[in-house]
Amino acid sequence: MTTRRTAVKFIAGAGVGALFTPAPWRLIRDTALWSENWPGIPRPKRGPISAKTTVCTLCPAGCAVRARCVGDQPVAMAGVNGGLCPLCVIGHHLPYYPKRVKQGAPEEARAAVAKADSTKRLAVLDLRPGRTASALYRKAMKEQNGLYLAPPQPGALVNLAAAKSVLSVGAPLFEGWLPPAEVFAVRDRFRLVQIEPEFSRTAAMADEWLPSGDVAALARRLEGPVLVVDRTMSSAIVALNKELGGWGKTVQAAPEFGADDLASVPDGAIGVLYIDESNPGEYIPWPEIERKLASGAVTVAFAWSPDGYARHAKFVLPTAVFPEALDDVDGRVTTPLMKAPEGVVDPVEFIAKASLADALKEIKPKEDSGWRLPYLGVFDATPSPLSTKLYQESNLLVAPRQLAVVSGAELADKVVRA
Amino acid sequence: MKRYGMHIDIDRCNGCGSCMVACAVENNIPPVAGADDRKGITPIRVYQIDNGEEYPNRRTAFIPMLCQQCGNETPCAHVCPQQAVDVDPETGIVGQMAERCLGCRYCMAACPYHARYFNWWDPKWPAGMEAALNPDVAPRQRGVVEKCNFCHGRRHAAMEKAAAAGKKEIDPADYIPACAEACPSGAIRFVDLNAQAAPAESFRLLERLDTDPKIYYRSKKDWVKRNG
Repeated sequence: MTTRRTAVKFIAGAGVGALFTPAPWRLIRDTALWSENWPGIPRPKRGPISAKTTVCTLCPAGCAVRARCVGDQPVAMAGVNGGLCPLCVIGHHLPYYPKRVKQGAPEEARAAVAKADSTKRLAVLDLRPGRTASALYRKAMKEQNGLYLAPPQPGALVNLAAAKSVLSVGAPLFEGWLPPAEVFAVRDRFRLVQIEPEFSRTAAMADEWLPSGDVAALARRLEGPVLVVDRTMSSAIVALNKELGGWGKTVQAAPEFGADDLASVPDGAIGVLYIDESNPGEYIPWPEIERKLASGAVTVAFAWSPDGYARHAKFVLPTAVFPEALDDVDGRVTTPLMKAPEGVVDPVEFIAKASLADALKEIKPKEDSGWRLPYLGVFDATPSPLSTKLYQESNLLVAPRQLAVVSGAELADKVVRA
Repeated sequence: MKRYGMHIDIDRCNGCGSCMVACAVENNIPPVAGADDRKGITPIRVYQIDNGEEYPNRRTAFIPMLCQQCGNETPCAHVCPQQAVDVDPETGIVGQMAERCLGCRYCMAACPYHARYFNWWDPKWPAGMEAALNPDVAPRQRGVVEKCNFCHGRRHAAMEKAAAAGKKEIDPADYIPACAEACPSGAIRFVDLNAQAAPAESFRLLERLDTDPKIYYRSKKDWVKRNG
């Protein structure tokens, strides 16, 4: 006969007995497995794995990048010649950046530009001179009596590999001033003395850090060949390098980009200012620009981030950026790895459409040349005599960096045309 | 038989954080607005240390800190009630199986290096970003412990490649963890410790615990070695 006592004994016995069976442990494990496989968990996309190469344009260092792709979608970035900075490592996430500039009002901007005071001057601020787009901006501004502006560029190019001692006056040598892979490849060959009041990251890695010091006297005491650098490679530093016998060895002439001098522009002279931020570079402090603007001037920034000049511009138009943008840096093509978000505006089309059309008529590359056409120029990772001639004709000749990054063969399967 | 580990040159690390970012990308770690020092998931984390002196004698250094892959009496493996932690005898890699993990966090308490992180959040990415996830690593649900496993997805991919080529051993060039690959200064080097001895002047963290960690740090600076 079933009594309450027998029922309790049965339940308790079953409970104790179950502990000696795999059932509870299986249940716990299966619960853990089940909770890791809920339908809400994103499933990474699968597909054929391939690699694409390009050049990063997020900073002037211009590192060569190899992207691991699933189908057409990049899922990881790696350096071709070494490591990458944190920004480039997540370059393929930029299209999904929540603060990414995605909307603008191009027609309103055009209307405002058309209504702007015609007695004032038109100007373009190009953060990364030396591109094909830069040549078009220069051409367009020349045709319209405008100003082509650019941030101060280095007074000379440096060759770390030729130096045995490097005296840095506050140059962020290990913080993206030069391509990291290029710098660290030769790091063990030179002794670095960093003169800087702040104990920066570069100072932390220097062989010697001095908060201050007599640069010229110190440079003469170091073991040669000596390379002296500062952030902008100022004329005084270039002169010191020449005095130390480094011209043509540790330092060489930097390319001229033909930019107008902002300081010599009268205050209040600019009526319309375009700012191309699609290739971030050095920035000119906004107060220096602001005083050159006329009252009621129209400022149009082509930006991907709301944190740069977009904070000051009247119109902010979204633009493509690495790794979506097709562009060129120092004579190297940066091929897009993915599609740009809908609605981006091409700054060249916006600013220099007429010049672009003229230029395309002037230069007609051969179909079988294997070259790529970002806007009008003919680009090749290893410029041939003919491409060099075309560069010269289109006023685009830029001294290519010594760092060979993307071979023609690597580019062969990435035919991209404007 | 391999014995994977790392040689980390502290004198070459400038604390840029590329290793941390690359790790997050490789392991599909979602961006979380509420994450902080205690609740964020950083299988590799760069710590800044200093010599304790005042300016201008103050000096700092950066120490990339990740699972030390203890080879002797691995503390986390010992305490895991779910056998979610295993030590691969063929490579010495201490693995973590999220599917088995119950989230009890005994392993976190046992880890002398604080190199394990509890996942407090469901995996969510900004709209459309799921397309950019690494297909070799499954996103984990909240409630599990995560740690560095020397990028097991990369190792499996290298093994598959070797198998397809009819080889038993993987090519060392095919298997480099994301942090070592991304490091712009070359401070982090991934090595087979059986093939490459630890460099001169190297040391291991908390060596006195005798857990045989496989991450070797190196610095010429005495104060760094003392702090390490």
